[in-house]
Amino acid sequence: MSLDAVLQTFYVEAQEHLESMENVLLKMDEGECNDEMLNDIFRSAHTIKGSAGIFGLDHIVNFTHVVENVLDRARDKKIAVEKDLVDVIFKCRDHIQSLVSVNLEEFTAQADLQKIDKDLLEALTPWASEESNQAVKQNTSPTENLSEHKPTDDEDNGKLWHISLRLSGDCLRNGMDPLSFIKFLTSLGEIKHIETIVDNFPSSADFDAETLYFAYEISLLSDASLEEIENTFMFVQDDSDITILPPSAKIDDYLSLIDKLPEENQRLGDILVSCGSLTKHSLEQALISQNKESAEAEKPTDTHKLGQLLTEQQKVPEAVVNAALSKQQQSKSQATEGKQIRIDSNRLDNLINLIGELVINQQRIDLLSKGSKNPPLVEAVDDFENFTNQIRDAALSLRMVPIGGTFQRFKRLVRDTAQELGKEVELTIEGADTELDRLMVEKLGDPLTHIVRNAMDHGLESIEKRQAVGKNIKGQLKLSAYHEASHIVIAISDDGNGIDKERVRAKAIEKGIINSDSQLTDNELFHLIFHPGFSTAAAVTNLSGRGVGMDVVKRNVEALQGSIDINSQAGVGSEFKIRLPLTLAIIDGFHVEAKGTHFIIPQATIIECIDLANHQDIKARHCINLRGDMIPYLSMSEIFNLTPCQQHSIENKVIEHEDKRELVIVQFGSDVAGIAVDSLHGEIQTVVKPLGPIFKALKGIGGSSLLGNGEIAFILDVPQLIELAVGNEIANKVSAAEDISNQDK
Amino acid sequence: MEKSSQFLTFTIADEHFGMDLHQTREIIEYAGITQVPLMPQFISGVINLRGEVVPVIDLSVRLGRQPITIHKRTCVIVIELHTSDQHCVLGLLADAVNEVIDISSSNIEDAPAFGAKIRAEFIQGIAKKDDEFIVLLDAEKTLSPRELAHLVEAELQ
Repeated sequence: MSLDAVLQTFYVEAQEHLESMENVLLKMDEGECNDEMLNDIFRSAHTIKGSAGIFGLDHIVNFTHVVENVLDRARDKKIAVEKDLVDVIFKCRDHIQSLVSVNLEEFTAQADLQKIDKDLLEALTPWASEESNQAVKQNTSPTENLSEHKPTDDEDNGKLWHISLRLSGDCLRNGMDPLSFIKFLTSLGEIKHIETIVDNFPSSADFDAETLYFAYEISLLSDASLEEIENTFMFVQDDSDITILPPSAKIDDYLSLIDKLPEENQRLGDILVSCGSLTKHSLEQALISQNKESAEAEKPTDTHKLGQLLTEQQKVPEAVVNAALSKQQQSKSQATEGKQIRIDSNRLDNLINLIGELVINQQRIDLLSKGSKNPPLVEAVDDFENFTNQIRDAALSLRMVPIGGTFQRFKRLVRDTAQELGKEVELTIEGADTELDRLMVEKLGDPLTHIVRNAMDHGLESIEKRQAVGKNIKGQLKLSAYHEASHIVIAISDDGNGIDKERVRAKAIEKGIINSDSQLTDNELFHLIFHPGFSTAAAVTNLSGRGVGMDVVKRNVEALQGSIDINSQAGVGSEFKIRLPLTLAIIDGFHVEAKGTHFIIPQATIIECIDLANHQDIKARHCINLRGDMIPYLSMSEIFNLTPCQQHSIENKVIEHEDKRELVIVQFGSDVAGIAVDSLHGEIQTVVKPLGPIFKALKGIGGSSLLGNGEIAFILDVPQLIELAVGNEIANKVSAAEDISNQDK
Repeated sequence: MEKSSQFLTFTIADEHFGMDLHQTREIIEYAGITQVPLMPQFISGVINLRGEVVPVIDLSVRLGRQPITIHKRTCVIVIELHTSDQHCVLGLLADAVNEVIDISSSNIEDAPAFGAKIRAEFIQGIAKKDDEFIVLLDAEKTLSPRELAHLVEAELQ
């Protein structure tokens, strides 16, 4: 790990802590408050401060320290958690976030950041004032202690920690400077004595400037808890040997430390004495007794040492046990939050790709085994298929994340926006567990933000207006997510004013987007708001109204192969429905063929397959009567302009399937349509291979896939296909009309 | 010392072309191609290259000539383009692949302003070998994915 990588870890962790602070604050804002929450938020602030200290990010440390003090006082019930405080802490949290994003130099260069820093610190004063006095006292007290300090003083030993640092040799290479740890320790208390052990220092020939050869014995005078001291070394504890002896440690503990360390016992003992951790007398006695023991047979010594270890364990002070327990709990709660493992997304994608190859190979084996007429082989291959499916599902689920995390972020946005607009808004979240591909979740943030802001700014009315029309003064905003066929739907609804159709219309005419005599359906009218440069807000506000945003929303959603529906009723509210495909790397598909070209229809869109020959076209149009419903259908060969058996053009064999046509009935949202193909090949697992940028303009085909025999099939994008068919129909009608008018001439 | 670069030379309908060797990845036998519906003529289709779906371009059409005639010795030259934002693998249909030759920069002449019947920006230069002219193609310009995508889009509308 380079310094950058470690810093990166710091940023990621700081981000997580900031998020958890935000969550706690949001709960507090709703009036909820208990010790656990206060502990949580305190711990977050504390950890950020601690880690920032290690990297020498003093601007973060200084600011966070004050925030932490205030939180600590709240935790100790010295101050009450009231709305004003929560508001200030909210701002502090945001400020810490901006502090984390800049380094020390940038901070000193940015006057506005410093100003916020100062303002917030001032704002915190009412809650921190007493504490700051105390802090001063705390700072002075160790010095007083020191001047009075005598090594044998029992009361001082009560606070005297001993830290034995054997940092790994790679420490410097990893970007960790032991000095910064020691420097940080001074912020926890006072370093009484530090002894640098240079025994490992090699001859100049072997010397490597990047390797750390020093070890340290430190005695620290501090009121900090074991956990706090331990946290100092959080970034190096994995590969270093760090022993922290609490003030209450017994001589035995020191002895076992002496034993454990590689240096010579007597010298170590002297070091400990000079550190003031041990008295000369007690050390001598202990060493004598130990030497006696080691003079005994080897084996008994070992068992004795083990026994010593055990007694040591029994003697571990309560503080140590508590710290260990709380640490365990912490890691447990993190595990349940599902944030514990971080995987490079490239590795995950690579795994998914490999599994894709596995699936294709499995199909090839399946084909071969069926041809072999060897029942045990077929059976084994069936089992293999079963497991392949399970591996596939498990791997894909790695990429899926619940959308709840994204929704959660809107709580804050809604709170702040509501405050800014002077409206009261209640946000409800439904379907937070709905899972979505991680890539999509990332790309959904922006469009959702725009829609939510828009709904709050333009949709929901002001408090007075709501009162006037007899609505609850609290505006209702709902975010929900659910599955529908092979799609996921994210709906944002409000109970506001609805979209004013006439205003949209007037605005569109004014902007020259439509003609004044255009006849538009409601849906078409609503979709005008996605037109670039379109904004109906009378005044441009900070939040929305600049006319950028909604077109971005549409573009982003379309980039994800999704679509947006708008439902709106004047005075009742509006609903935006974002419909997204579950674009996964691997999907269940249905393999069909038309004129020698293979296609895959996503299984989830299929309702049924019927034989077209048994159903009569209604008046020779592309419609059939299916159990009383009129269903339009499109022909694959017509829509894609396929000529028979294209891929065998060398062999020139033309097989006509005209009389044996099959119809696959598909559903997309509320639309039902048929797709006419030549033959059905059955279910197949398909690995989606994107067709690449060249084919981006090709509508109706969402990707390609390899069949078991190595041939390429195209995966149909059903909604696009239907759109294409509708578009073609309109174009045909227009050209037909033109033909007629041309003939007339 | 004179700077020389290596070029892969190939033939399409008795015309000799060369392409910077660094841009070529491999040469495979033509074993059928899957046509992509609604595509313009210069896109022959896609092939399965060991699990990768690779578009194949009929270079002959792209250079404004008649479509290539598929025969027993037709082969696909797989090239790899690295543009600023993405890397792109494409196949090119050729009648025959000849050899890899070293051509020193002094033996490469600028493309004639006209007369080559190929858009001048596609040509990196003209080299002469054994009394035959070899048109050295600029793969990045000739096969720019962005431009190809635009052409496809135009065809579909």
